[in-house]
Amino acid sequence: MKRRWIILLGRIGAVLVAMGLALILLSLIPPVKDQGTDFTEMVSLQPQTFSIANPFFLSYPLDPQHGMCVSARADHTVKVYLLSVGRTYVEEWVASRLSDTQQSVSTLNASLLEEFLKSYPNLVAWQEDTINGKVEVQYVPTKIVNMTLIFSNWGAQNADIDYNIRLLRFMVSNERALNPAKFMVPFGFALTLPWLNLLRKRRKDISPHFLIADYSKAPR
Amino acid sequence: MGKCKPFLEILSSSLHGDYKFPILEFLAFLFLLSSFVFTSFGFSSSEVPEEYFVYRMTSSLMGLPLFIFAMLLFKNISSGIGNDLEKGTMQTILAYPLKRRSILTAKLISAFVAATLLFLGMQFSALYILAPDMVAPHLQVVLLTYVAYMSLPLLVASITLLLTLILRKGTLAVVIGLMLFFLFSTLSSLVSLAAYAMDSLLPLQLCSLLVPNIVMDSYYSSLQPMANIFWRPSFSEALLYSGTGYCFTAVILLLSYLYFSRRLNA
Repeated sequence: MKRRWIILLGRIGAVLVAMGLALILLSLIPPVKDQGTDFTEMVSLQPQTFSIANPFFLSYPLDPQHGMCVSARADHTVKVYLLSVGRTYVEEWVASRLSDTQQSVSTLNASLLEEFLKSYPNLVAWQEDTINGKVEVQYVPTKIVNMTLIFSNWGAQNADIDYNIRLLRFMVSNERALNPAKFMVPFGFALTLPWLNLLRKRRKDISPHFLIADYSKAPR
Repeated sequence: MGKCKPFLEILSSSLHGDYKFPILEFLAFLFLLSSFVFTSFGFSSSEVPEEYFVYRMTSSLMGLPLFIFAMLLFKNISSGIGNDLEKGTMQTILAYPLKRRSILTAKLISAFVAATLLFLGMQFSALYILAPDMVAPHLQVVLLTYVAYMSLPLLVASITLLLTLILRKGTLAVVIGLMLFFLFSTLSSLVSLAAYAMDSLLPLQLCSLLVPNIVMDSYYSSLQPMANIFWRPSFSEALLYSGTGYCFTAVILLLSYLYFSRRLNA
């Protein structure tokens, strides 16, 4: 009975190793750049203001096979936010709080953004400061969702930001494929060890030593 | 415990025969790898409910693996039960102190249940790796999609099993099974065209009894607000058609049991 369990667990372990290897193979496949989705722009942000990036392709939702690569360079420290909500939603929310004298919603007071983020903290998919004036991120959503990219200048000086957004097509997000594989392969291998040991023992037991003839000592 | 041991003996020898090392591992590798290859979410729009995209994702995810799953079922029937009948090993198996239906159950657990568990295990792993936030809230959509799409391979596999028992030749039965599987798969597209041409729902409804993914496809496609869908079935209709496919499978399996228990001379 014990032998049967060892075999069962060993086979489950071998399946886990196979799954892990398939995921590692998938994670090695590089993403493909979506045609016509390379957007580069330069924005100048006054102190205590924020700006919403406006590439046309971000008006369509992204899915778990379509990620986004953002790289930005700024001459001062700027905060970059990636929100999992459509641009129009943010704009409408901001517009509802704008006074009549403020006409444009493209460059706005950073306190409004702070208020928005406090009201909807779960919408922040990713955020980071431009460290040494540079930031780069690859984001793949886990469901179909609209995305909005926002730059916010919390500092006291003007900031010039040069940014680029590209859409990438994945078979599966490299990180998401690799994370379970890291556990599957060692755990599966550990499960297979008693089974491999059993196989080795059995092979030893049935190996026909008595049939192996030593021809070197045979009379010529 | 008395009857359990011989049952386990037959089950373990069937499992060993059907999934020799490294067949099981290679299948797991192939199922998982091929799941991601043809996955598509279609054109994403915020106006379409998420259920539609979950359905699209699940149905596209099982495109190639479902074909491999069907082949695995046919192979298990041919190399397991078919070979036992052809080579006369079945006589030895029938000598076990077990009822004939228990012997067939052990064989079917190995051929059908283990293959289904492997297929579903790999598919659900792929779904959770790809889009965890879409699968968890719409688990019923995912399950229903699998129920509809797995109906045809299971139906054809049970027909193949019955043919194997009657003909006592696994290879011939598998060839017929393969032909039936491809026929039914092609039939669904032909019937859709015929339904449009005749301006009648009847061909689609009849075909959905055997191939329930037609009704499921129509149901989820009709969730799109602007979609021009020929047939807009209700949810209960979609469930009913899916259930009918399984009823046919159950009837054929019952016939196989009856034949194996009463008529088969090993």
